[in-house]
Amino acid sequence: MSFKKSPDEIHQTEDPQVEAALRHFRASVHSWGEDEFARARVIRPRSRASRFLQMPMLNWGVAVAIAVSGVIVPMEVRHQHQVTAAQQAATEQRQLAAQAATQMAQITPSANMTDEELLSHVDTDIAQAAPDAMEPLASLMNESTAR
Amino acid sequence: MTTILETMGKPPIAVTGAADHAQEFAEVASRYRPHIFRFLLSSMRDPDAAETLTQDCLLKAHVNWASFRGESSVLTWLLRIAINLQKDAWRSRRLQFWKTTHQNAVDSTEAANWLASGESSPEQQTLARDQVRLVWKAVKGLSERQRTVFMLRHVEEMDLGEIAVAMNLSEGTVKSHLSRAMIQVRKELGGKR
Repeated sequence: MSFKKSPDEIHQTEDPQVEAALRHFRASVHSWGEDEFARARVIRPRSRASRFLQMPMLNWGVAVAIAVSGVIVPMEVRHQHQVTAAQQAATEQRQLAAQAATQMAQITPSANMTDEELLSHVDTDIAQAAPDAMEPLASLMNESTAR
Repeated sequence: MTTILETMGKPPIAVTGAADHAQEFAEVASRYRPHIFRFLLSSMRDPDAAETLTQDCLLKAHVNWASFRGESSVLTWLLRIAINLQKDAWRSRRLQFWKTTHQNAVDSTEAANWLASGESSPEQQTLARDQVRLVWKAVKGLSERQRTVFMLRHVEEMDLGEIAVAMNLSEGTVKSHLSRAMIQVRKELGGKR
């Protein structure tokens, strides 16, 4: 058997001052409520934006999407840059290799050349490679060869 | 013929048509709207916020009216919706809601000025106003749950079982919250008990 009073019992045997205060409080709130309820009030229709902002699941979804895209987009951009750079480097390497091969093909005499053609080719290369300062000497050589 | 307003319950859906439902709900809304508004006003002290949430509450009740089985009284059911809407409002728009509610909230001293015209002498009126102001001061210091329990018990005069249903709490928890709230009120009124 419990002798502890429940709040209901406590409420019934409340201090007269507390009881009076609670009675006045109740009467005051009722009076205020009636007064405010009777007052004409314009209810502002909510805008679509505020309705949108009141959907917590949607807000969370948008927040997660923004966070994920904030991480993924820079990573994707960086990856794209790396791929493009690698492709450019490969293209440049291929071009350089092709140029080198072309130059080598020009420089290297072919196997079916005759000895005279080979000598003529070497002469031409030497003549072409003569620097400006050696130009008078080269012209002399040409003249002597012509004789 | 007993109506819903007389029984405070709800007749079975099978015996009522859609038009009857609409009529029923219109009666319920007009009868209980002041109660819901008063509860929300006393909880938030902001008439505009109270009006907005009252509208939301009735709208939600209207949408779910067909699913109401009459397991509790209509007022308890409506107050449960109002309490949940108030909680949602605190949660989802916490900063904005607090900001606007605090801006619009009526000061507890101002709220104490509303008095029923029962007090005869100016002295009695002053004493009553002072007591109301002290209760408001205590209420301001209560937690959200304690305040809700206190308002439902002492303003709406609901019994503990109804409060437990409205707040989706056990009766023991309701008693505990009410007891703590009363300690604060008594302390504010002069440290008695």
